[in-house]
Formats: sequence, C-alpha cells, structure tokens
Amino acid sequence: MSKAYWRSLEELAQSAEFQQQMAAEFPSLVEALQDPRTRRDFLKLMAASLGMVGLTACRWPKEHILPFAGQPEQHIPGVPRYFATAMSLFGGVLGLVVTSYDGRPIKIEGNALHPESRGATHLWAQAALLELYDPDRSQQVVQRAAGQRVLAGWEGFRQALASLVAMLKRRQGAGVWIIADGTPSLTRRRLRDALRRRFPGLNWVDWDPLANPSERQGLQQATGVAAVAKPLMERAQVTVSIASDLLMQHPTAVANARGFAERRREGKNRLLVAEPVPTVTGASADYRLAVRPDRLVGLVVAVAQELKGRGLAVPLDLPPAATLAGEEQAFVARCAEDLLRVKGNGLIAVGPELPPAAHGLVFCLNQALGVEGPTVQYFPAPPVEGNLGQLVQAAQQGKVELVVFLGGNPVATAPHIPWREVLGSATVVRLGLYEDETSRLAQWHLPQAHFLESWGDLVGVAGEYSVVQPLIAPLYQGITAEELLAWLAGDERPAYQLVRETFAQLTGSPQWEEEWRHTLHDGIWRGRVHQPLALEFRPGPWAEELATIPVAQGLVAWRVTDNKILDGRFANNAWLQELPDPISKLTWGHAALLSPETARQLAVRHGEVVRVQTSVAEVQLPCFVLPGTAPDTVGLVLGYGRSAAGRVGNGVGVDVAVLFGPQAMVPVSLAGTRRRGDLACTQDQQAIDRVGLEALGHRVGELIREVPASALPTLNPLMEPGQVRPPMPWRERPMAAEYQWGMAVDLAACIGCGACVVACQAENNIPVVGKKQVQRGRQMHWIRVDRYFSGKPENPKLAFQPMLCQHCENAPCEQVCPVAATVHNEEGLNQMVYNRCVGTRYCSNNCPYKVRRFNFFNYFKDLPPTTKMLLNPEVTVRSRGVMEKCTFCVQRIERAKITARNERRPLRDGEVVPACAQVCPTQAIVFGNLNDATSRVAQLHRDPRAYGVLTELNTRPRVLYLAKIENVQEEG
Amino acid sequence: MSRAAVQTSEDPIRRAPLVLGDDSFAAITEKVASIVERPRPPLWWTVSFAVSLGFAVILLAMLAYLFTTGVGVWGLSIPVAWGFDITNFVFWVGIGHAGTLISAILFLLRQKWRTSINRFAEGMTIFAVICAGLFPAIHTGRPWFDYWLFPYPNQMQMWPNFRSPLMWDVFAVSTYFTVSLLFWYVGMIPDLATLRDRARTRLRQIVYGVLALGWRGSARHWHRYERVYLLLAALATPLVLSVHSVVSFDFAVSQLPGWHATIFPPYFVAGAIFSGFAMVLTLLIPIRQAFHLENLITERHLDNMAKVLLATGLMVGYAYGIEFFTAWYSGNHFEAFTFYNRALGPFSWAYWIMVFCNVVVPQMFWFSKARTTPWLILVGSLLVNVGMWFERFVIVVTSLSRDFLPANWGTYSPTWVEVFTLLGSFGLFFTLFLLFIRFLPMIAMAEVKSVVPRAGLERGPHRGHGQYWGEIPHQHDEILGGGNHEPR
Repeated sequence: MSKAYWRSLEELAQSAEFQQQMAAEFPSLVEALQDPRTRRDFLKLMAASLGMVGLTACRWPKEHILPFAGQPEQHIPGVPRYFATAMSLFGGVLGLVVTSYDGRPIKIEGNALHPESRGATHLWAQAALLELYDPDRSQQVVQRAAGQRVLAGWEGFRQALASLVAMLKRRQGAGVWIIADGTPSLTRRRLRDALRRRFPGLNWVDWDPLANPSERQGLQQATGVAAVAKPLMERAQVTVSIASDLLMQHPTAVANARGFAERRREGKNRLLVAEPVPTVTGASADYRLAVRPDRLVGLVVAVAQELKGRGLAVPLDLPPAATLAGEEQAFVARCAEDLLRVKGNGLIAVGPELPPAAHGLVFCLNQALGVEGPTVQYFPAPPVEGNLGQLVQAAQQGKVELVVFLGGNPVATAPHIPWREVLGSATVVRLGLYEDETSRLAQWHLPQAHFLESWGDLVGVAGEYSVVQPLIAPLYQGITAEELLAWLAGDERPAYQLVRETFAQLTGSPQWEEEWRHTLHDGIWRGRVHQPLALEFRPGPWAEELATIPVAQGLVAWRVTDNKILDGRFANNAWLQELPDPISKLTWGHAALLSPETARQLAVRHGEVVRVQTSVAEVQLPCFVLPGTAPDTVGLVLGYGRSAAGRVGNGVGVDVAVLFGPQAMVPVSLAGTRRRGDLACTQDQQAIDRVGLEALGHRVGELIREVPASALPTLNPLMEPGQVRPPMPWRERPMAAEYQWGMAVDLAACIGCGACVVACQAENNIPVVGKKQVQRGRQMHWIRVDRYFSGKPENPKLAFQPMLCQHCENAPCEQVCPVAATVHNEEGLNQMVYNRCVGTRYCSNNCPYKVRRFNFFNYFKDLPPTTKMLLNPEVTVRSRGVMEKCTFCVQRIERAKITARNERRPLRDGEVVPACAQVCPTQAIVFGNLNDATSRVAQLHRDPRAYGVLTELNTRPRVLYLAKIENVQEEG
Repeated sequence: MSRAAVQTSEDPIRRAPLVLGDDSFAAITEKVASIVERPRPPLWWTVSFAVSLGFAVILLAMLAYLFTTGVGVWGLSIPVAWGFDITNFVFWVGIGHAGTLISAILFLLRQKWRTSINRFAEGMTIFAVICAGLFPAIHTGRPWFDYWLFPYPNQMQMWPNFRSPLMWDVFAVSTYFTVSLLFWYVGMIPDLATLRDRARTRLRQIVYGVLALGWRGSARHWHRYERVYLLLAALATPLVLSVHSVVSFDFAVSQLPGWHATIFPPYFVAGAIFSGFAMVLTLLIPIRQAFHLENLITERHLDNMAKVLLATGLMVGYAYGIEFFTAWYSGNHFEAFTFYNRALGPFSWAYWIMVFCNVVVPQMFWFSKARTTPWLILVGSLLVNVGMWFERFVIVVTSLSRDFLPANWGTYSPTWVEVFTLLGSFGLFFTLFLLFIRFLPMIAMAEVKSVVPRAGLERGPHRGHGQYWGEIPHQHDEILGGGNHEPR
C-alpha cells in the first residue's frame, strides 16, 4: 500500500468538518460527473460517489436498534416475510404486499385483498423498489445560499425551522404556500386542516401532473359535487373512450384492466377508442379511430348528437356538431348504436386532457344512458385544491414569503410557471426524493423518505383506506411529508403516531387498536372512507364551453405522458428507462410520433431528428413513424430531458413540456434536419425494408391468432391435439414426474402494458444494460412483449404477444449445447445451468423464439452497494459470458414444493405463481401443473382457443397461447 | 508454340512435361534448399514478415481486450449471436482444405503435377487450420472453460454433449489438424535430411538432424516411408471431406432457415476446395515470381488449379441456385423468405458481392489465356477469397438476423475489434507462412526429382515414389525425343 499523505490534521482524522467540507466541494464534482460517457464510467462514478457520500451520511442509529442476540419473533433467516403497504399514482391507490428478506425488501406484489389490485400491480409499483435503493436519491439536508451548496444537516434545518414556524405564527399563515404533490393521504388532509385552523391565511396548492382536475371540475359544474368517476369495466358491455387511457394511465387502471379482460374472455364486451396517438387502451380496442386532438371535443359532442338523434333524452342543449369525416361519422354511429343496444351496460369515458365541459357532457350522457350504478360509480374527488396560477398571482403582488414543496417536482413538470420570479424573494423549503430541478431553486432541500421507508396512509378512489407501512428504516435519513407538516404545526411526533391518530379518528371506535392490526395485516381497512355518490345532473352555462373549443389548422402537437417514466418522476429508474414502451418499443428516450402519411408529407424519415417549433420554444428530437397516429398530429412524449434527475435519467431525451404550457395541444411546425437520431428500440430497430414488411404481414396472422367473439360458443379447436405434439420417429420417454409445468398466455387478455417485464426483472436479478447495449440488441429481459401491427398503416390493429422461454419438450437449444449446460428436468423445465455454460451462444441461434439472453459483459461488476441490497437471494447473479433465460421462476416452484412437502401434501393448483403471472393486471398468464387435468393451466391448454407458436418445428412448447378475441360487428 | 501452350497442351500423344527446364537433381536441390540456407532473407521477406508480425501482435492485443472485457466488445447481439467469429472460422477451415486435398487426394489419383505444390499447400493448410481453430476457442463467453468441450474424466462426472455439432467440430478439426500435420511432416522427412546434410552451422545440423529422424535414404527407409505416406494419404482423404461436412453440420443440424439444409455438406466441401485453391494460388503466384520457381511451378500448375477453381466455382454456384429452388419447392415460407431476404434484404450487398466473386469471376477461367496469365489468376483468386469470406458471412449473419418471429429480427455490424481480429488472423497466418518458407523446404525436392524430365519418368522401370503399382508404362522415348537420364 502506498504511503498516505495528508494536508491537515482534519484530513488525517477524517473529522466531521473535513468530511462536510469535502462534500460541500462535491457538488461541482457531481455536476462534472453528470455526463457519463459510458455505462461503465457512470457505474464507477456511481459507486465512488456513493462511497464518498456515504461517509457523510453515516449516523448513529438512535432508535429501533436491538441486539440480535435473541431471535425476533417470526424472523427465520432466509425465510421471506411479507408486509402490506400501498402506493398512489394518478390519484388512485394500489394495495401492495412486499417481500422482505432479512429486512431488505426485494419484491413488490399486488395485495390480493385490495379491490384495486386483487394481487396484481402496474409496472410502476414493480419499479418502485429500484427507486428505493437508488443511490442518486437525495441523501442529506442541503442548504443553498448565495450560490453555495452546503450540507447543513438536520440540526441546521431544525434551527432554521424555528424561525420559519415563528414567522408562520406571526403572519397567521399569510404569504405561506404549501405546494403538495396531491397524494391522497388522510393524515396529510388532517394535518393540513389542522394547520389551516391554526394559521387561517395559509395557502395550499395540490399539483399532480398525473391528476385529472378537468374531470373533477367538470363534475363539479355538472352536478355541484367535485367527484371522480370510477368505471366498472367488469360490468361494461360497451366502453367508449375518447382519449382516456383507461387500461394504463388511469387512477383505477389495474382494476379496469382486470375487469376488461374478464369480460373480454367471454367475448362479451366491446371497446371503442378515439385518440390522437395509440395508447395501451387504443391497442386493445375493437374499433379505434385515430383522431386529431382538436377534434376530440367535437367528437364527444357528435356522439351526444347522434345519441340524441337516435332518441336518447339528453337534458342539455347541444352545440351543433362539427362536420365529420367519413371515418369519424362511422365511428360515432357505431358508438351510438352500441351504447343504445346495451343501454345501461355501456359507458363513456373521456381523458384528462379534455376540458371540464366535455366531462360534464359525458356525465350527462352516462346518466341519460342509465349507466350510473351498473357501470360507473361516482365518488367524492380527493379534496385537492388551489392551482399554481394563484401562486403566480400572489407572487406578482409580492405576497409569497415561504413556499414549502411537499414532494413532486413542479419546476420540471410545470414549466409554464415562471418559477424563478415566483420563488424569487421567498424562502423555499423543498422535501423531495431527489435533489432535482425544484431543489435547485430552494434554500432548503430535505430528503424525503420513500414510501417503502415511510408510515403513511392512502385513500383510494372508492374510499379504500390503506396504511403505508415501511419495509426498512430510511436509507438516507429521509422524513415523510406528513412529518414535515407536523413540524410546521409544532408537532414532533413521528409519522407512525400521526397515522395511528388519523386511524383512531377514522374508526372512532375504542377497539381501534385491533382494527389497526387488522388493517396493517390486510393492507386495507374494512370500512370505507367514503361511499358512492348519487349525483344529479344540472345543466348550466358551463356547457357553452363546448361550442367554443377552437379547431386548429395545420400540424398540432399532442402531449403524451410517457408510459414508463410518466411525467419524469421515474426518470432515474433504469428498469423503466430500459422497459420498451408498450406501443413504440422505445427504450432510453422518446420521440416525436408521426403517422406514416404525415411523415411522408413532411418529408421526414423514421429516426431522423426533427425540429418542432411553437411560437415560444423549439425542441429537437428524433421522429418515430408510428402507424395509428392521427393525421397532421405530432405526439410528443413528456417526462424526458431532465437535467437533475440523477445519473440514469439526466440527458435522456429532451424536455418537450416547454412547448405546451397548460394545454395539451399546441399548433407547431416541424422540419427534418437530415441528422440520424439516436433511438434505442427493442423491436424493428431499423425501419424495416419492403422485403421484411411483406414477410411480417404474412406471419402476423399465424403468430397471433384471432377469433371473432361471435364464434366463441361454437369454436372448433384452433389446433388438433396432435399439432402441438407431432409424433417422433422414435419411442418417446414419458414425462413421468408428478408435476409437469406449463403455461397459458391469453392474448385476449394481454393489454401489452409491460408489467410482467419489470416484475421478471425484479424477481430474477436481471441486469440493466443501458442505451448503447439496447441499440446493439442486448437487452436482457427474459420476457418481452412483442407488438405487431396489421391492417392499414393509417389505422392499424395492434396485437401483443408476451414471448418468453417456451420450455419446449423437444428443445432445440438443448441439443446443440456442446457442454450440456441447458438440459431438461423431469418436470419439463428447460433448465439453464449457468456454471456449466461456456457461452458458445449456439443455443440462442437455434432457438426459434430467440428468448435466450447473453451476458455480453459482466453487468453486475459495478453495481452500487445499495442496489445490491435489491438482489433476490434465491436467484443466481449471472456472470459474464453465460447464457440465461426464463426459468418459469424455478425458485418459486422449489419454495412451494418445499412448503408442500413439509406439510406432507401435494401442491395445490395456483400455489406456484411466476412473477409475470402474479403481476399481470389482466391475469393473462396462467401457470401450473399440466399433469393435473383439473388445473387451470391444463384446462386452458384444452381450450379451443389454445395454440402453440411454431409447433410445426416439433419443439412442443409448454407455453400455449389463447387466441385474441375481437368483437366487431359482423358485416351484413 | 509458346512456353505456356506447350505445357498446357491437350494433345493426347504429346504428354506435357510436369517440370520445365532440364535441371539436374543437384540443381533442384540447390534451388530449393538455397532459399532456406541463405544467410539473410530477401528484403521483401523482411518487410512482409514485419507487417505480418505486426498484425499478429494486433491479434494478441485484440484477444487480450476480448478476454478481459467480454464478448460484448464484438458487435454480436441476440439474435445475431455469431458474426465475424464463426465466419472467420469457416473461412479459415475452408482454406485449410486445399493442402490436404492436393497432397492426399491428388496423390491417390496419381496426379503427379501435384508434387511441385503439395508441400506449399500443406503448409498453408496447417496455418489456416491454426487460424481456424483460434476462432471457436475465443468466441465463447468464458474461453477459460473451453476445455469442457473435450471428453475427459473429471470431478463433475460430466461428459460433453455428443449430440451437439460443435462437439463434432472439436473432433473433426482436431483430427484433421493432427493428420494434416503428420502428413506434412512425414512427407518432409527426406527433404529435412537433405537440409541436415547440407547444413553449415551446428544449430542447423542439430535442428534439422532431430527433425529428419535419422533418415539415411536407404531403400528400406524409402520403402517404409512410401508405405506410411500412402497410408496417411488414405487416412487424410476422407478427412478432407469429413471436416467441412462436419463444419457444415453446425448449420445444417440447426433449426434456422438458411442453415437447415441437406445440401450443406457437399456444398461446403466444394466451397472449401474452391477457397483453398484460391488461397494456394494467391500465395503461390507471388512466391513463384520472387524465388524464380517458374520451372518447378509451371503454367501447367496454374492452369490446372484454375480449372479446379472453375469447376468448384460452378459447384458453388449450383448450390446457390439450388438453395433458392429448395426454398421455393419446400413450400416453407420461412425458408423462402430467408433466401428472398438474402438477395433483396438489408444484407443483399454482401450476397451480391458473394455471387459476383464466386460465380461470375471464375467464369473467366473458361479461357486458356486467363488460366495461364499469372496476374489475372492472382486477381481472380483474390476475389474468390473475398467472395468465399462473404459466403460464410451471408450464411451466418443473414440467416440469424431474420428468423421466425419478426419481433426477433435484428441486425449486425462488426466493431473495430472484430475487424482487427480478422486482420490479425491474417497476420498470424502470414507470419507462420513466411517462417515456413524461410526455414523449411517449400517444394518437395525428393518428389519433384521423380517427375523432372531427367527422372526418366516415362521410361518404364523407374517410377516416382509411391508409384509402384499398376501397369508399367510403355517407353515413349521416341515421342519425347529420348534423353539421357541418369538414375536417382
């Protein structure tokens, strides 16, 4: 070891002052390091910075520490424990159950007892775990003053807090603004109200870019009650969605998707979607209309006119319908006919980007159709309040003295607010998960605890009350928003006490402690915070807005929230960055989405960098020719171009929010630049040439079978029994073991959301490879969702096909491996023996499904220490140079078998659930024992819709697909 | 008649001489051995060797980078998990075909013209197989475990998977290499003894002495030697056919459209002979010029080899055609698409380079003028080398890049590491080859002596070595104009 030199005694002693000084110098270093050249450099820096920051973040645990001399109750080393918690997105709440190994949460599942989840989750819940362990999360209290960034520590903030609280008291809250992120927490609501009572002048604004204030306002106008609609898709026979992404970006998307799939399997629902840019919902539609965004409102009105014209009593004077194009007219007529046909069992939904009046009109129509109750319920909207415009006004009058940001990242997500001027002279305190764009404008940045580190509570759309339970003590000394609120009120109690107090008040029962225990265990309280509303329609002047919706000329840009990183809040989440977008299959970035025809007219090519201009701003980003985009529309995906997201998210894409302001649609001009963009797509990396397209067109129908819903009752099997297992020229050894594992994937249910991909990544320690590697075609996902277009490019049909190892009984991969590293076991699993693999990659070449993944590098070499905590201890971390692939979650199979054997019983059907099947919101994936004729998977394999992919190769896949069901009106 | 026309005459009653000039046996020995015995190599050798060695060092550097970092330094992906690595492997194995074909099969077929070029071609074979063997060894993800491909008793109680064509490759290539090396070495023993006898320095005496295995040239030695040579030729002959057949199994046994074809074994063997002869010509023509060996390696040799090029080129062309036919006739649309895609898809440029170099270019060898003009043959053979490399590239890459499920489709472009590894393998090849021509007799002196005019080959009782069966030819002295031949 080399001799250590030191410049000062402090350095030698590594004293606290020195460390602070060092870390105070660190920001500049952080900035310099924020442009990682390669993934490797970046990971090195990540590890190094973590190590250095870790020094200053060390603290003595003050509480909750117990010697491990005695084994804590229920703790068995190596045996996972499960805790219920909940998370909130889009204003909705999803109940979760988190698996924890020795105190480390390693996997999130849905809470089967929670009605929104029923055991499934969306992809963001899966990825939340990576966020928890993100080394880029804010780790310390930072004070910014006079351009200096100082690590002040909690003590420093507490001193400053005293004067802030004093000011709050003195001014009775006047000039104090709290900008919250709209989390529907009952405790927060209680603390807010308490704070308000004490300081009547206090201003509160909820800003959640994913919320739907338009609906709330529309229903307020149309009924007098601020309400939110909850579609009951399990009951709806006909669903008309106008730019509403019911199945993906919706408060109750998981439940909607489940309900949709339940009806869809029976062939008993129809989905009609009109939207400017294909969404997951549009991809599942039976009838889809690609419509320019400025015609959306006109389309709602036209549907109303059509319904009225067909005799529906619509108690509202409708403005005259705009003239419709032929396709639009047909779509409107189809909607009206279907809605009237199933009267009372249909439902209309419109998206958050439509004006309040459109929501009011839709409420009116739904009521006229008599759907309230059977297919739509209305609940009180979460009492969000205020808007950022009020803050701007107050700032102009110089009435802003203290601004407290509770979570969120308004500076990045509301670029239409002149934040520098607004916050100019005020004291700004910011509590956030990341030290991001908002923190840079704040005097104080406080690290927020992740929800998996927090005590809290959430209220779902239908009034479900869940307690947010921490899985781990805060990794980076964060606090919760509720704790900060309590501090402002002079209450020093931890969040745990605050939530319990809320709960005690909620139940109002002396036995609340017992109910609390039940709620913690179940993840949901037995009661409901609120009940469905019975709303009355009130026509009013608000409806006049419908007539004044401007119709734009020329090219318009339409704001699209990203399907992965949403408004940018998950920008630093590598799992989500690397997840292919459900529709475009883009990773690590976004694009300007154009229809093929519009691209031709504008003379831009797929992948070319285009310049999109409005009167106020200009952005340059690659263009993506996406069939199904409306004509003369450019879909711009939000959430990218973050400058302070962290090392993963910085510099990915560009910020397109600057073009929009508060509106979702702006007229733009677009021009190509002749430069090639830097897209990383997992499918069709290159624009496919004519030769390829023709072949693709021929193959889709064979790979993705489709049956009309009307044919379901009398459907002949798509495959003869012998077709899946053609005979062999030699005598076969029977598969004799008790369990023969197999899977069925229902394409009628799959909506393509990609939750299975993230779930598999979390469960199986699948590495993230980065943009360059994805461009090379080296993504590691064991399950992928193939997306195919068919039909006309202007308005194609989309189909999804989850593709994973088919566990072929006659596996081509096994035969060609020279070292027998991939072999079959007696239960029919195609096993990959990592430590035997030498990496010839021959198996992948011979795999007709190309589901094998190769470790071209050691992707775990530079994993940051915190992220290592995330790894599932039951799954091997693969080294460089070995092949890997789906194992059917063999670790789960073995665990279930061990449990069953200990209990001296055979496995029950449904006891083994792979990660992909467990997470699936639509339960499209079913796994089980084919040897048990009564198991669900065996029944599905006998379903007439069942077929295998490429069975003519005699691979004998253990995964069968169930044909997609299409419910379109038969001609004639 | 011109010199070339005399040698390549097709007049049945005028047997063309195999070797020109009327060099004495001693002169032949002098001519061949002096190349090895020169104290200093010619300047061009030094320059070529320096360049080759430089590329060989680059190869080492590329391997070091590869081993320390991972196969990811190449441009491979899923689905294109094989690229330059296996392309280069098949390319070099193919080149490694000519030597043994010339020495063994032509030997058994009594094509005596082979004697001037067989040593040279065998040397080339050995070096090409060394280059070929390199690629399967380095293409694995964990090359330090390559020995797992060999069946050896081990604590894991694991055998390799004998069903895998890669496993067969291991045996086919290693057997081929062993037999080729033995064949080459055994054939060289009398010449090594000549060099030993002529050695002026102690070191040469010892080295060549050891290598000559105590050869004294006794009749018994000759008898044993010729027996062994014959047997080895008989052993090597099936290997010539088997090794490339087995290499083709790597593809033919798989499921992949474009690989899964029964025509592959003969098609690959023809292609291998094609590329091997092209490489022999590429090397031979400049060397012949540089060392003034025009009398030993005559236009007739070039002519014959050009004919082989033409013949095998036609076979390869036929295979290209018949692949399309079977793809269409099979009714399998995956198969049909693969070939449609080869000719018209994103890699069509590689396909058409291949067709041009392998099918169009050899057509010039229908003309005897082209077959006897060395520079034209050199250009043609160079193009065939390029074409045959592209053939393997087309087979490996286009088939993989677009297989069954359109969602799998990908593309491939090599990285600089792959390009330099390929160049480096040429560096290694030429380094070994230049060392060979510097230190070992590149023409089989003993054998050539048996076919020079003085050997009186046509005179009856005496025959070249190995030629001691069949009918004794009649005297043709009067046709050849007689001659005063001294016995060997």
